[in-house]
Parts: sequence; C-alpha cells; structure tokens
Amino acid sequence: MTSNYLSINGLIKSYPPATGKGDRLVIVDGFDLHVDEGEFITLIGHSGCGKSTVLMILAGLSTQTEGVITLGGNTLTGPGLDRGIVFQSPCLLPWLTAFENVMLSVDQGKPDWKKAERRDHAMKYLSLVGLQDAVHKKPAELSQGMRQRVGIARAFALQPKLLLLDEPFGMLDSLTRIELQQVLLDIWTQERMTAVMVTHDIDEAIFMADRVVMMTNGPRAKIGDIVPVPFARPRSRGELLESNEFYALRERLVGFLEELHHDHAPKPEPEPTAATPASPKLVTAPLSGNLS
Amino acid sequence: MKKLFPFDWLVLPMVGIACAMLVWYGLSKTITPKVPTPLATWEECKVYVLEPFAKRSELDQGVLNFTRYSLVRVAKGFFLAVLIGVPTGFLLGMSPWFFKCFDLLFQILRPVSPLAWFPLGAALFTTFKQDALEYAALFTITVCAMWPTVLNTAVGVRAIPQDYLNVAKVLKLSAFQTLWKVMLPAVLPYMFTGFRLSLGIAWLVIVAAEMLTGNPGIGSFLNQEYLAGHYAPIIFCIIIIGVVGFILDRIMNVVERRFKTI
Ligand SMILES: Nc1ncnc2c1ncn2[C@@H]1O[C@H](COP(=O)(O)OP(=O)(O)OP(=O)(O)O)[C@@H](O)[C@H]1O
Ligand SMILES: [Mg+2]
Repeated sequence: MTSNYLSINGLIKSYPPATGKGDRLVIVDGFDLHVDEGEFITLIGHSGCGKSTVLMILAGLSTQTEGVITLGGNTLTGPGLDRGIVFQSPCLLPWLTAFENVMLSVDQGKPDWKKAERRDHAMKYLSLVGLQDAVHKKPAELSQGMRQRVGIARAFALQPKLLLLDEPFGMLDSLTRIELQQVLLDIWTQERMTAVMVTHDIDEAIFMADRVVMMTNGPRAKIGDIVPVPFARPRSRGELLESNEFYALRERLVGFLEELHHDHAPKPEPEPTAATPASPKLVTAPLSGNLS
Repeated sequence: MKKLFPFDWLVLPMVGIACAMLVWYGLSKTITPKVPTPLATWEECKVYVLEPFAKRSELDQGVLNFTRYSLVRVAKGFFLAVLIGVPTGFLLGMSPWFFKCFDLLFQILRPVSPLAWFPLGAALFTTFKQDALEYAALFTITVCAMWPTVLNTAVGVRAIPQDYLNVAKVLKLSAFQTLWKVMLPAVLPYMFTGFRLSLGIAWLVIVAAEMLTGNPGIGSFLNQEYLAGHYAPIIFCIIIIGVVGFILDRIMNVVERRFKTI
C-alpha cells in the first residue's frame, strides 16, 4: 500500500469577477490532501463551500487555477480512465440499456480485451450491484436507485485507480440510500481502490470513511479538520449505532460544522439537513441494522 | 383532447368537410358561377381517379401517376435538404465561430420564396441543357426545405445535456465516438422534428417548382388546366395536394414519435 498515492498540493480555484472588474472570486484557496492507496475519504462541508469544485477538478472536468495533483506518481491533467466517477444524478445515456451503458465504459477501459471478456466483465459488475435481472432495461424503465446502481457499476467496471463520488446517494430516499451504501462498500471492499466521496450526510460520512475531511465555508474554503474513523472493517451499521465512539465522532463533526455556521451566520444557501444536530435521522436508523 | 361522444374523431371532421362543401356549393350557385359545384367537379375529374395509372399523354395522366412523379421529385429534394441540413445544423450548434459567421446569412436566405429561387436555379444549371429546369426544381426544393432541419438540428445540439458530454469526456471517447455515440442519439428527436417540417415545405414548394418546369407532376398538371381555363381539375388538384401532404405529415409524425421515446 503506497502512502501519498493521491496527493493534492496547494489547490486553488478562482473565477474572474462577475462584473468584469475587481478581485477574482476565490472559491477554494489552498486545499492540501494526501491520501494513501486504498483509503476511503469522505468530504463534508456546508453547501456551496466547494466540495464539487474539488471533485470536478480531480475528475478532470474542471481545471484548477493553481496547484498540482498527482495520482500514483502521475500528474493529472484532464479526464482519464484511471478515475471512475459517480455523479449525483446517474448520468446514464437514456438510449442505451443498463448493460450498454456499462459496456461503453468497459469498451473504453479495456480496449484490448476480447468482446466476450468485456461482456462478462460488464455483467459481473451489474450483478455485483444487484441488477442481473434488469440489464437490458433502459434507464427510463429503472427506478432512481437502480439507475444509480448502473452508475456505480459503470464506475467500478473501469477498475480505476481512484473512485470519485459526488453525493452519489443525494437523490435517494433513506432506505435506498442505506442499501446502496452497503452495495458500494461491499464492492469497494473487494477491489480496495482509493476513493473520495462527497456527502451531505454525517452518518454516511462516518460509516464509509477511513478519514472524514471537513472543509471550511467558502469563499476561500480549505480543509478545516481531518478526523480518522477508527472502526474496523467490515463495519456493521447496527454495531456502529450502538457504540459510544460513533456518537462522540458524530458530535465532533456536527460541532465543527455548527461552529462554522455561527462564524458565517448570513449564508444565502439553504442548510444541508444532515448537518443539523436536531435531525431525527439517526434515531430512525436502527431500521437499517438488519441490512448490514 | 376530451372525448365528446363515441366516434367523434370520425364524425366531427366529416361535419367540417360537409360545411366546406356547402359553402363551395353555395358560392358556385350564386356569386361565382364559373366554379363548378362539388358534384360537377367529381363528374369532370373522376376519370383521373378511376383510372389512376392511365397515361393518355404527358400531361393527361391518372392521379397516382402525377402524384408519383411529384413525390419522387420531392423525395430527391428532401434527401438533399437532409444531407446538407444535418451537418450544417451540427456546425451551427457546436461552433460559435460557424454560428457567428453564418447565422445572419441564413436568417436572410430563409424567408426567400421558392418563386424567387427557381430562376436562379435555372441560371445555375444552364449547362445541363434540357435537364436544366429539372435541376432548378430540385435546387428550389432543397434550398427552401432545408431550413427547419438546419435550425432544429442546431437547437438539438445546443440542448444536449452537459451530463452526457461529461460522460463522453470522463470515458475519453474520441471526437468521432462522441459525435456518433453521444451527440447524434441525443439530437435525433430534434432532427426528426426538423425532417417533418422540411418534408412539409418540400411538398409545399413542389407545385410552384413544377408550374415553372412544366415537367409532368401534380403542379404542372394544375398549371396546364389553369392556362386552359378548366376549373374543376384545379379544385381537384388542390384536394389531392392537401391529402397527400396530410398523409406525408402523418407518416413523419409516427416516425418522429418513435424517436421521441428515447
Ligand atoms: N462558473 C462559476 N463562476 C463563479 N462561481 C462559481 C462557478 N461555479 C461554481 N461557483 C461557486 O463555487 C462555489 C462552490 O460550488 P460547489 O458546487 O463546489 O459547492 P458544493 O460544496 O459542491 O455545494 P453543494 O453541497 O451544494 O453541492 C459556489 O459558491 C458557487 O457559487
Ligand atoms: Mg456539490
């Protein structure tokens, strides 16, 4: 396992001022993060602080103003097949079936494999996400949760060095969300690739991560704190919810976000519900005990 | 629309047509006695319908013969319009440079009447001697019919969701693969809307084009009867042109909707 497998040094993203004059609008100002190979990082922070901005730069869909990112020793410039991406909306091509959507990714990622090998590979990942019976359906015939499963299968089928997830379960109801967290963790446990996941949900951030990275509020957002999550894997949601350590950790994250919130009281963006400590979400969570 | 009573979709259009017939009959019996009544029109023109494939002379043939000549001409012009219109629309939608260069020009050329294009076509194709007018007709149909395809394709290209293009970028699709596997399928529904409108215009232009060429077809037949002062065949031609145009539109509508479902 290589340390500093993914390293982000002095990342700055700024936009020209909207009016054309004045200072540049600095969104992210000096984001430094070093991630070991096979580590699972979750990234949390208030809405609009620049989480997606960082992730889109990692994906190569946006370019940084300054800073260097290396992955496995190579400096990243632009998109690449060494990174698999799961967006908040599944981003499937609606005229292709679930299988064809995954196949598009496999064809690109494994160009020198035989056709049959590529098909088997795509089918394997569709089965891993539990879609073996719906492979020939178009996205319009799939539920939101099933579409996101296809998105996950498509990203994993690339067998990327780095997995990037931007609120992949943000649009799902809480039951489906818990189910897909487990699906994602199960596949990740088998493949053990480095992963960076943005989320709004503090419980999700703890459950999935080896380390939780918290960003300060924008503009000029940077990393506020990094909290290691000590729980051994494989984790059981039920056990986690019974441990005091989990609640202590949760308190710490909520406290951090709360404090930020008070520092910057007038914020135009709506508050993410998961960051509100009074949220009853956790209390209802034991429902999920049997899912893990 | 709400269903008014059983078979309203069949009965009510018949009522509409009957109203038109009544007005027509009334007019021919009162202020425009030169126009034959519906029955007289049928009497005079039934030979074209009852012997649809007859060919008595170049400009005296059954209705399906004439329609076929015209449809073949329209098909050629429409095919050329699509062939030119789709790539032009893609360029217009994709390249700000191309858009800024040609948008104004296209806006100016678009409203020009087929009657104005035809003489230019005749001048352009003089080297083809006896075929010159036929080429001029095709030119006229193509130039007039391609705009809806151009514009709808351009709108479709601009409406491709960024999500799809991001997928193409993330998966490192080549420019050609992006065009073929992502952009074209995404634009297809828009293109077919353009095709339907283009075909409608091509059919609209055919009468004008044929009037000027004189080559056999529904338009030249109409023109010949007009010059001879026969009113019944003129009305008959109008009805045939309308019905054929309607059928073409229905067919394209079905095709269009097939592609809308994706
Ligand atoms: N093209 C742009 N020009 C100027 N500012 C921009 C542009 N794109 C994004 N921003 C700003 O960058 C900031 C960060 O946006 P980003 O989408 O990264 O936030 P986020 O942390 O992902 O928020 P959320 O949790 O709501 O998804 C926002 O304040 C946004 O207004
Ligand atoms: Mg975001």
